[in-house]
Amino acid sequence: MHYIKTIAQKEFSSFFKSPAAYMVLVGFLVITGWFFAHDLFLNNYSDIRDVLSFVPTIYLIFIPAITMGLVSKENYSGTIELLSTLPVKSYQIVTGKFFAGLGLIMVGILFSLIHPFTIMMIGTNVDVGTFFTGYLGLILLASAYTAIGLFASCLTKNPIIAFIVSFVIMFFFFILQYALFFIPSSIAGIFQYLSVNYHYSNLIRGVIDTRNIIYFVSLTFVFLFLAGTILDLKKR
Amino acid sequence: MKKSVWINVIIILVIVIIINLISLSLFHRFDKTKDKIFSLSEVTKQTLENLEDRLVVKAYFSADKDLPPNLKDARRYAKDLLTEYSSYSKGQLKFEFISPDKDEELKKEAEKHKIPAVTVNIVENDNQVSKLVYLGFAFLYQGKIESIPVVYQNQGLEYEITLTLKKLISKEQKKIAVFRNDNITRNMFGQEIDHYADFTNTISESYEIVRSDLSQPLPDDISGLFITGITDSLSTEQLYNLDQYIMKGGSVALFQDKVQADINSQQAQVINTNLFDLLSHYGINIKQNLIGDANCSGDMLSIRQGNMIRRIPLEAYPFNPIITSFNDDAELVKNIDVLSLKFPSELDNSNIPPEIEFTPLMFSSKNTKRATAPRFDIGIMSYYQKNLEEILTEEPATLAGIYRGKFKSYFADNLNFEDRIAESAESKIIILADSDLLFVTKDKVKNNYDFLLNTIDTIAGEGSLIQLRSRGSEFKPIKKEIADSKSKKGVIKWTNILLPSFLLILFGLLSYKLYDNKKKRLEKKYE
Repeated sequence: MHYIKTIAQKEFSSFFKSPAAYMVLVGFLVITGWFFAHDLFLNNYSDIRDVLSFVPTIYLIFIPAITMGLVSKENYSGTIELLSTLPVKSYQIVTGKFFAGLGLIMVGILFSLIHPFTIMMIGTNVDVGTFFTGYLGLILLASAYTAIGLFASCLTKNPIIAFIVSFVIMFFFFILQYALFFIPSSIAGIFQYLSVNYHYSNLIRGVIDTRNIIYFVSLTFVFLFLAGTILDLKKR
Repeated sequence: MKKSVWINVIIILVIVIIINLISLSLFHRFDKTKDKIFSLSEVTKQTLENLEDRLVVKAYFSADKDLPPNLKDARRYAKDLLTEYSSYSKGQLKFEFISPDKDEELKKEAEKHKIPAVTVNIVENDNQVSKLVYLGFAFLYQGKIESIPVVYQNQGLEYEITLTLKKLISKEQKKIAVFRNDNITRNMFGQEIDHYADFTNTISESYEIVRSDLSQPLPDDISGLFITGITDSLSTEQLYNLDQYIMKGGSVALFQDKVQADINSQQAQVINTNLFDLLSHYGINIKQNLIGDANCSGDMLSIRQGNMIRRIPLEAYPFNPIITSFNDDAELVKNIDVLSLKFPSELDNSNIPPEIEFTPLMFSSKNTKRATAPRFDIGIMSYYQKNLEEILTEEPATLAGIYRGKFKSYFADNLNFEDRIAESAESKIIILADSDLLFVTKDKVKNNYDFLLNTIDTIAGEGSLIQLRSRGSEFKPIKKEIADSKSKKGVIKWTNILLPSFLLILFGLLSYKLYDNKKKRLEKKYE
């Protein structure tokens, strides 16, 4: 646990020493802000579901941009070999980096809290419960995508390739919901269950379903486990 | 080495898949919405469990961009609600949303499924324009098709969907017997006026109506009996059939005047029918009065002047009371906020037998007036342009109630009826001492019809549906003072777009400054 915390802290603070993290976060905040505010008065509706529905699309670019360098940079510079000589296990490296990446995304999510607060001030019949579950959905989705990004980052030395690989995997889970139309009905249920949007949509409308939580935790765990396995293989 | 890694990966994947498979059947849903709008009721879950086959719901809804905000919300709520239905249907309920607006084939399909295009007004480029939109559902199950043609509001949507599912699943509709007077009135062109058209249409959406004059015993498959508007005495056979229906455990609802009154003649007279003798025998009594209330609606007074009929609007007439006081503990009126009555009378609770349980349903306000027999002071001049709250100061009156228990037969001691049942099984009688509730226009007072449906559901043993009728999400517009102010809207819009980034950059600059200072301090220290 000590190693995980140290790696997470080091990685997290290093984000804020370069302007790249700020640029990514500002991009995320401006885009979410725009999608929140643009149709707010046109729709004349006191909730944040429209913007929450759009965030998974922003995540497709935003999260790979954050996670692409988490391990691939270390692979490129050779510091991963240095790390492997220390008494740190692969799963500790992966978990530490995962929390660092997720922490940075949480900073973006934290700054976006201005949107629900705005609704609470200007709206009527505001349903705060849906804000809570919506943000829980954002965090769970971010966890799953960060794990995928981290896995992709472990595969290669090149951050751009890591970005592309993580984007492709995330896009697969993202697009499933929209592709159900083309899938035979006998197996459509399986693909629907695999789709992140299917699970995420429950949360943003105010319902916490244990199936959705287990899905996101499973997805996160599987990709973290695979990332740890890749690192293990590289050590050998 | 690599083989063992692959085995590990496979084992972990299998465990994760098993956990997810178990979670599919052992799950729990927490509804965190304010009014628990996505917590399906027990009756809905039970209905879904009874699905034996695949049920397809085709939701013909226009695209979001073609709908005004409140209907966009209806579309979204409909989708959310169907997702909930699907979750509990064990894969039997599938739904799809179809926007037929630009596809002639889909328009024909919607029409075939009895989903009409309806006109709505929307604002486009600051101009109000009328558009034809689709807002309906078609339910396809075992070769049968049922539809909900238009969904204008979220409230009661679960009720409508569940009722439709019940209709599809059940082999046949429940039957309600209706016994009412057959006084025919005609309009100025001599055409017959069907006062009960709205009533019939409303009930027949959910039940099969069987007209009965009680000259024959009611069949066993009747789920409830509704009686209204009786002005004459019944024959002995009619009374006996009614009594024995109750003795067999049948439930009855009566929307029945005790006093017949007319605003134009401003006169009233007591209705003499032996139906009241029968009710009185059960312990159900209606006082010979008319209840007025300071909280009331207006009316239209028709005065004949020569060959002309002059119609004078009355702003407030106390004998058209608006009822807002309901028994919160009674399921039947839980979803009712307001009812509009006309010349109601008061229930007399003084002679209820101990074995009968009485639940009052609604009351007049503390500004009540009892116009009593024989004079019945209902003349408009007594109340015209007067402060009603000052002149109507009597205590509230009970206007409707439910009587439950084992009733003693009206014919218990009559040896002419050998097969009579002397005491009823557990039965209920609902009474509202006013039949005019049925004739207040349906669109004007929706609650009147909700009360009617609640009453019918209760006597038909479908009381669990009542709680669904009022459920649904609320429309949540932006506060008007904000939505109307261009400058406030601009400030809110740009604050939300730019402020988070600005705060983040500020935070970045501060932390860079701190980092830089620390760096300089360390450099100085180790120089």
